[in-house]
Amino acid sequence: MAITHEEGSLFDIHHPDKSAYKLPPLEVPSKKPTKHLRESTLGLPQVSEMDVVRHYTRLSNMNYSIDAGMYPLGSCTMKYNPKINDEISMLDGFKNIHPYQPLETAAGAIEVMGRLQDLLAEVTGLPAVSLQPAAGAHGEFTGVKVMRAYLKENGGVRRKMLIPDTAHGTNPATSTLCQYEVVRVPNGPNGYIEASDVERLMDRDTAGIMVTNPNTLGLFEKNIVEICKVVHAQGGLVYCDGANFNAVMGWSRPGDLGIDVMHLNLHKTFSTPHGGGGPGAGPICAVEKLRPYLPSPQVVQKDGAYALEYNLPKTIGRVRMAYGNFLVLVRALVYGLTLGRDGLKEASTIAVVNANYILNLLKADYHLPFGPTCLHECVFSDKNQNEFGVKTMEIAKRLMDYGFHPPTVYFPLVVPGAIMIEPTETEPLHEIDRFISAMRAIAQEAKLNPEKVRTAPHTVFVKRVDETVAAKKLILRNNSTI
Amino acid sequence: MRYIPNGGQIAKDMLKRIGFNSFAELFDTQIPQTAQFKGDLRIKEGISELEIRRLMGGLANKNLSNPSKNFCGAGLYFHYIPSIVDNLSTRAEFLTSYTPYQPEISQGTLRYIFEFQSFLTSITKMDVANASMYDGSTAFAEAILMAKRIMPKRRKVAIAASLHPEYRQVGVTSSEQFGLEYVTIPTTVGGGVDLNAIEQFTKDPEALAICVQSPNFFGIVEDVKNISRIVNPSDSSIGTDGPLLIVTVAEAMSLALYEPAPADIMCGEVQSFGNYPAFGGPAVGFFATKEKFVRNMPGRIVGQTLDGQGKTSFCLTLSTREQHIRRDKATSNICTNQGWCALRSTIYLATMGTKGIREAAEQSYSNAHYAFELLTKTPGIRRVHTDDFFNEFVVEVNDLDRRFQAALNSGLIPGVRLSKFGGSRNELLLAFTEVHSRSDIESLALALRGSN
Repeated sequence: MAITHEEGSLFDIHHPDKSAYKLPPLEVPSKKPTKHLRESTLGLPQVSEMDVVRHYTRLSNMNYSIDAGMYPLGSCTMKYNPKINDEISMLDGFKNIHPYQPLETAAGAIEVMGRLQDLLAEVTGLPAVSLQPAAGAHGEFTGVKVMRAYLKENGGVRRKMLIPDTAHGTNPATSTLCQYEVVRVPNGPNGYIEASDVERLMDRDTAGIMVTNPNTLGLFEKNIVEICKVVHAQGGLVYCDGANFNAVMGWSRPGDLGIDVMHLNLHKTFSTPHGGGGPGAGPICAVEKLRPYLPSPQVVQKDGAYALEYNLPKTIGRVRMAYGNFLVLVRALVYGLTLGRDGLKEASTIAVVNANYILNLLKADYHLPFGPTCLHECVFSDKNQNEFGVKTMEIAKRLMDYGFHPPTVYFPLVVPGAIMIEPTETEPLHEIDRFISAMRAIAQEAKLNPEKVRTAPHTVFVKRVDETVAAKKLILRNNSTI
Repeated sequence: MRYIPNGGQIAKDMLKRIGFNSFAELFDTQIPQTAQFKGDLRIKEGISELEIRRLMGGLANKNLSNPSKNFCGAGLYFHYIPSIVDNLSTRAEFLTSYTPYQPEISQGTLRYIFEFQSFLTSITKMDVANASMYDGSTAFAEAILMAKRIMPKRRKVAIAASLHPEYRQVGVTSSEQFGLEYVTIPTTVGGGVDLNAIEQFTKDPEALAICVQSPNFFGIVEDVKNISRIVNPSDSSIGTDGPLLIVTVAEAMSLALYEPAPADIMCGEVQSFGNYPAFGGPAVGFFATKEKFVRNMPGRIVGQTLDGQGKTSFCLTLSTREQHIRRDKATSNICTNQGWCALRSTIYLATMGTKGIREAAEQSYSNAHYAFELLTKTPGIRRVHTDDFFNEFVVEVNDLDRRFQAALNSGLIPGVRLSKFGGSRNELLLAFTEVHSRSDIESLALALRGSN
């Protein structure tokens, strides 16, 4: 714990005589370049090791984290990140290997990737896996490029992509990036995509649909099998955004439903840490007919061992250098090995129980637009609190005073003032109960003392941060010169 | 299962409290019978930590992992990482936190990203830098896409033959759907780009971007000042009259010694700053540009602002470029990036400071030049390029297959064979940093001597 949070900039404590490093003396003759020389200093502060340690320790104290408390962020799956995963990823044999060293000197690394691919193929029911994408959105991009390459060889790339209104923002952004015009699919009255809507919008100039299942309302798309049939009937393909896969491991496999290609967020479902915004990993899993189009190289089995295959004439090419966010893959494999068959299913089972528990215990206080049950996350709105002039963002900020990170807010867009709560399976019951009590208390405050909610947070050391000023008067770097 | 605290009777009691008798009954309300998976996954039962250590330790031990005996570079380098980088970066408050969408409880993350942006702009001499990209290759791809947003009517992209082949592949895979045409700028005998070819290309009315790397894939330091003068003869011509100049930097340590290019977009890899090569990932891409292009930039950006009490604070800004706000109109689909790797780079730069980075760069330069002298005196080994290099270079080695194997047999990885990248069978690209001692370099030279 930090007693003070008044921490200045490293530039303020710079002194040219300070230093936090020491390298061994140079053993070879010293040489210096003579051309294209840098004309000015790098401008980095000189500080001591104590300065660096204090500074970053104090910064760390300004952060909320999963180790410190619940992170009920819907669609983000902020579950516990097991320590053994981190420790294994930091073994010399993993962190100190080079992607271009001869592969026979990195056979263990290839095996890590091969084993993880097999695990992901089995849990999704989609046999063709690429571990190259570095994050979920990168997986989407890779998957849609694969769809595009397949369609190109089968009648043409087509121009449009169907995107449900409940989709994550990355789905329409990815479609545009892949040169598809976004066609919106409305959600039906109960929150589900209707196969009839898809049938009406799907045609021979539409590549297919990007569907999140379970969707961002926490609902399993009941019509998914029929939707896949409708899309396939027009020669299209079905992409599944697997951000919410934590709800269904062992309960349902996308590959059995007609999904053609999907990504998994290993930094969600497979418990690798978010690290304040990455690194993640967004492997894609696809049906057999799409395998030839996956990024190069592919990890394959040859003569009983895993190997890299580069001879892939139909591949979309590379989506990043080397092979992927390897140390993230190591962590995910360790997680899969730790949980195993029953553990993976139990993770999804308890994630769903926890979410439904919250749904049931909060529905008297908060408006529940869709129900009566959910999968891994539940979505409320601020409709009841609006009567007292209290909005979702204010409820979110007030939760900080109770010691919780806010839920995902104002998403999905189909629910005005959405409050999207995903407890995950790693949250102990007593913490969930504490969260429910906090939410109920805020609902009471909204009625009795709405001003208190509106001006939150009160107890955190930073008051409401002015994001408008930040966007208007851009200060994007420290301008101190040393 | 020890990561699932509500297992056993606890979950059953929770179920009962909300009116369900079994897990199946709850799941049946959501997943239609026809969509349910009825079998058992063909995955082994979970194992203990001790068994995992044995299994994963065994896999790790199959890999050759000795930085001082490894001379591979080509975009990822074995620099020394001071122990406080591991120690501070693995604090759970950093490692297990989410993207800082709620600034009041994420000032730690926001502040280090702001420092990352500050350090990177200072090192690159660019106006603005973002909060990181996946890696150098995807940063390069985003640069091409950004150029296309700025000048949508142009369609030709010139890429230096001396730019990292995997960067080029990623750039092409990521942008070909826009109907771009890719032109290759040849390499001179010196090893740098052909300036005449750049000048020719600049005159093409369809020219969208010129992409060069410095130090380039072969280690050669490009004459970026001259390249910039050819592409942007005056400051007012930037992004209006001619193509944009995209300069990638795969070995960021070089910026300590060499003047950064006056580019329109500078991007690349900062793995060298505090991140392990790690079989290629996670690395950390940087992306920097001129202020006037900031609204076209991909990725997250942190800005300084004030909180309710008037105190300096930080938050994500210019979010209206991003996918979660703009959806299909966003500048990029990027969401999760490499935040934690950017933290490692930031701590590394704070630890080393200007002096430390410069010393590491000078040692890398000196070690590489010492190795170059030893190797080019060795029978059967010849230099390939004539221009000066930073910390890596290409040599042509007679009978490389045998000599490479001999080096491997003595526990050394003598570099990257360029045949892997479509180069000649006898070409070897070797990289040197401060982690290589004199005796490491001398053993390398001895091993590559073969039995000749």
